[in-house]
Amino acid sequence: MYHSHSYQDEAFDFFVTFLKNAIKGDVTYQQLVLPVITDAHLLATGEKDYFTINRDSYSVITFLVEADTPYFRQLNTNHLTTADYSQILQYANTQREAFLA
Amino acid sequence: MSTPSYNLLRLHLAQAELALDKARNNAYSDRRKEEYQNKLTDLYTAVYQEVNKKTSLTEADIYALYKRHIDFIFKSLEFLDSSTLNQIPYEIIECLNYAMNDWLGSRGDYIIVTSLINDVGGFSFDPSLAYSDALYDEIKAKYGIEFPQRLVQINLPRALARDYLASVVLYHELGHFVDMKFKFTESLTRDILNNVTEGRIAGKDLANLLIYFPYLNSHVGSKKTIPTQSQLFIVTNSHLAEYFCDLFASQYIADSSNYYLQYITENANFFSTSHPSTVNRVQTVTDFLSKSDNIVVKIINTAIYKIKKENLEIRNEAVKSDDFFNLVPTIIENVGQLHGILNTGWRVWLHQQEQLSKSLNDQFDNPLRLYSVVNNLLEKSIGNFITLNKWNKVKP
Repeated sequence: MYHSHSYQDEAFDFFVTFLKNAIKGDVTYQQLVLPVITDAHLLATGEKDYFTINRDSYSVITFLVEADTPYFRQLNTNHLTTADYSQILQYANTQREAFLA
Repeated sequence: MSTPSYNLLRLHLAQAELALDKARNNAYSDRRKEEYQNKLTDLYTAVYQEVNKKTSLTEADIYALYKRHIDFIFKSLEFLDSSTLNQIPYEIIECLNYAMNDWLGSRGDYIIVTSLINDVGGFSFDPSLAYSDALYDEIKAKYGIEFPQRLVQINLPRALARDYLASVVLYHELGHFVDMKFKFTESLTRDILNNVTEGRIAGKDLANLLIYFPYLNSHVGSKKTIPTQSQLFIVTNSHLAEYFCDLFASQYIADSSNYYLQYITENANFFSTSHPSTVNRVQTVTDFLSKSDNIVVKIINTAIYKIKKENLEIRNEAVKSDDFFNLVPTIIENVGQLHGILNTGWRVWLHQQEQLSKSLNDQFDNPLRLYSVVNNLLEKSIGNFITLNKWNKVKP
């Protein structure tokens, strides 16, 4: 009673899977990850803050920006490359380790 | 193609088809559940057809592209199967629906389903199908199938499914779901920790904050950034979430759940890693209801306003208990009273049992009889309001 569960891991799982499909060139998945990456960029540049970033992807966005703020600050979200998706996947993959650190 | 992973996928598909077939006999009180179930059948067909079209599928493809969609069908059916006509404690669900609509809109985007469990303390929400839109966006983009609603499951102790006194804690659990959707307390946690470590909060405000978060004392002015995954962040977030949910619930049921909380926690004056002390939780609700200055109420309201342009407010209306003593259901006049009558039930139970006992001409020696009467009157009062409300909406 009076407890709720964390579903953050599942949100990360989805994001990681979507990124893997995006890396393979699947446009459907590239479009699915774009809003998350865009908000990570906007949080890193200060154009958005913790109260205004997308609520649904909140955990993923904040984790990515904490992982490497300078990277997301300079990221060109209008032209994301396979290398960008791969780099972001590397950051996302560190989530479990960071949690257990 | 006959790899072990492909054959496991075929097994998963066969299991899903059988489960969908069995669910065809389900009878729901809510037409939206039927529509949702039909969408599951559409999704199954789409996955089945796409898998059949493939000439090769790696294990990674199966996991990345299909398995999760079949898992979703199963999880949804699990929710729907336990929420059929004969199992739903309909009246309390309707009360929660009204509260949920205050925060998540009245378009019916969320369907509350219920599961009765064999744990007398097992009131909880399972938001696993409503936490994130990612899967729904994927299904829409990939198969063109749109699920207009999300299922939110409430777990209720089987033994207390018709207990309207104990059920008030579900408002607290609903608060967790609302908080999860808007990230009120997660956003606020970052703000508070930054303010504390950077020394941006001082004087009376800091002293007040440390009453409710005493473990932050050693971090004041530390100039260290607290990572989101750190224990300190998680504990602070968890405590803030509990305060929020207590306040959220008290908007609707006033101080009703305080009594129950004090009893089950033995009014603990110490905090745990997941929960603040009961003494602090009760004080926060008391201050909110009496409109007294309280730092926790203030900062939570600030976060809610930044994210949703709303504030916590009293959303219930007091209902007199006179009808209880005449042993007739109370006529509820509006949604505020619908929530308020639960608090009336609690007040009768806590302070007016003897009077109720006299109405029944008994000797105040039969708690079960009083308990049944209070629950029956609450159920009938709520049920009458819901029926009348629906009738007023459809009558010519």
